[in-house]
Amino acid sequence: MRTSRKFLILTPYLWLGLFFLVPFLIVIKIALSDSVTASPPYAPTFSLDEGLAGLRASFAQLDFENFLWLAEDGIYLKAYFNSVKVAAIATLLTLLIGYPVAYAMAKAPRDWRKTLLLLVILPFWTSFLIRIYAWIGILKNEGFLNLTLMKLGIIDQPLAIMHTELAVYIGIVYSYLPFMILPLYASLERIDGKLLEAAEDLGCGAFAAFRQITLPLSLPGVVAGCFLVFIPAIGEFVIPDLLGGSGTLMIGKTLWLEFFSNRDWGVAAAVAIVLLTILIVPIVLFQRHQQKHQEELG
Amino acid sequence: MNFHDPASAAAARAEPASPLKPARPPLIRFENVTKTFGSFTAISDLNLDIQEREFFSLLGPSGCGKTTMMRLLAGFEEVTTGRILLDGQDLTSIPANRRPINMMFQSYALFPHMSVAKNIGFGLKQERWKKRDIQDRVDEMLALVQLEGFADRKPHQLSGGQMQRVALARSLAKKPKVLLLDEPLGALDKKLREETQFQLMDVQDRLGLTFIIVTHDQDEAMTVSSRIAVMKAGKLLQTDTPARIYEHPASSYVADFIGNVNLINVELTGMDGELALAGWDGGTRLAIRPQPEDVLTPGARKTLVLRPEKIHVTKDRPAEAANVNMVDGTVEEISYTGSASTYLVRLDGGMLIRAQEANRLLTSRREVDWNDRVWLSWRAGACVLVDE
Repeated sequence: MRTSRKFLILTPYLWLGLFFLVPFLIVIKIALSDSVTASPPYAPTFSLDEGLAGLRASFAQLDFENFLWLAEDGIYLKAYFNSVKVAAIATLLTLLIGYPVAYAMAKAPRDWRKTLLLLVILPFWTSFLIRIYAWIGILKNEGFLNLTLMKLGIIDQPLAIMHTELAVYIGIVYSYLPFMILPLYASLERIDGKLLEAAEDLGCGAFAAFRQITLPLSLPGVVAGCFLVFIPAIGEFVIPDLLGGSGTLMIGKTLWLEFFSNRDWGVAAAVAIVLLTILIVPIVLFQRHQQKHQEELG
Repeated sequence: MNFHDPASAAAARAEPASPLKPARPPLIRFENVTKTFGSFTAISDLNLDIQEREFFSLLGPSGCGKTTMMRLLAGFEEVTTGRILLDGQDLTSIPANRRPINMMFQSYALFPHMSVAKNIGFGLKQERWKKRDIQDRVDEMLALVQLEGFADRKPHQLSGGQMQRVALARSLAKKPKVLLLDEPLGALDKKLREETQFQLMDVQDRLGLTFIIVTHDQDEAMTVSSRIAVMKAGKLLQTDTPARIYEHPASSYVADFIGNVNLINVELTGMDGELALAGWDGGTRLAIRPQPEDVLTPGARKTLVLRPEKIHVTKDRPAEAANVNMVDGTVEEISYTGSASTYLVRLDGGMLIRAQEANRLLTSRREVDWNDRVWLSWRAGACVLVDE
């Protein structure tokens, strides 16, 4: 009985240890290694061939050179900064579009809500990658959007959207909108309609009631939605790579370049670790907020 | 607990005369009000006057339209036809947030993200009161409902009774002309409910406001109201003082809805001086003191409304008198409720009569017991006739 219970508790830890902690330690080790032209492309490699002394010598070779390099070359700092900026603006845009959608869904007649919810999730049935490629077809110079606008005579020169930061924003907002809408909808739908009647009864107009009752009560949904968009958007690689141009410097793309083009695994690993550290702060903030909210509820 | 001044309360309660002929213009008037939801008629051609300073109850089973009446007054629903007047002014075009009518919700509907003080001051803030004035009024309201020191609590930190008082304070803060209370005490336990009833009456009396309460609890309606309107299927069956409703119900439905009652089908046989005579299936002749408005045609079938507590239960046959009715039967069941005992007595004809006696003696000294033969007696003036 006791052993089986221990086993039950251990299972998630084993899982996390095996599939998160061990790989993470390997990445840390690579980040502390030097880049070499070999396979694998880093040194030292730990091996037991030369016994304990050989291992110790390998450990001595580890250093923080790659991290120093990140600090010295301004391009990484710029990439980090730009990633945070793009993610923040995209999150804000997603919120601005997602809130009215979620609000309309929560106010829709009850029998409609399930269908609307299904429609929000529907895009997930197609591969993410294919949907991004579809955006290329829409946004490129001779794409669907430009052709339509020119046919309608609204523009005579195609709009250069492809390979700009605007295209990246369009891609991120489009891809992550459901992650914003779902928590917003959940928190908006939970608000008791009697509260709005009470506000109205006490002299509130419709907008004042929204500002003083609906908005503050939906704040947990806003926070959850923003984190669900912001965190993955920072590290986003596919969207800036496919839709963005060379000018769009984002950390996910930088990482890919270091890894595959430069074959500098050490720097790539260091970039990943720094990115993770940057992300840990908002994740911890998010969890604390959730916890506080849970406590307040009951 | 502050009790109100009994004299003024009695005056307020006795005040309204016939609803058809008000002594002064009514504060609220429903004029031929009909409200339909699709094919469902919630209120049907209803007329009602409510006077200033009344504590008025809308009483009825769920679905009778009482909540719709309240929502029409608050402005959450619009009348389909007819109109509602407040102080002679048509309310139809005035939205809910402009009416000098506030509502206390059944679920209290306190704003969960605001403190008690913010909740109470909410309505005043909407009217752009100065911060200091809001603070003063909030303090005054907290004192009124005896919640001083709770200003900074959040609703989830309050007990049910405290939430109820905050809701009351919030709905009173703007000093509305009319306060609507939707099942205000429904969520409280019995003891707290009784305490709170007195508190409500006290508050109403002190502020001199008009309260309209919706309830399905007849005890609550009887206790707090100056007048009660009994509703059924969107219509008013009777609008009267609690005592009139209880003792002179207009129909057997009203009699049955309010309190316990014996409803006995009788046939009028004639008159004996001032008393009407009637016989029932068992053949027993009954004497009934008729009401002035009763139409008494011999041979007419009527329903006798006889309250259990008006019936005496004795082992010996009571002294014969023209104005005393008596029947005998066997005690089938006795239910003891502390202050009183209810006897279910089976008459020889098979009919079951419910009689109630106050327990003046200790139960061990009680002379009537299960399966005893007993006499039930009541005075001719203790029962009324209604149409069958």
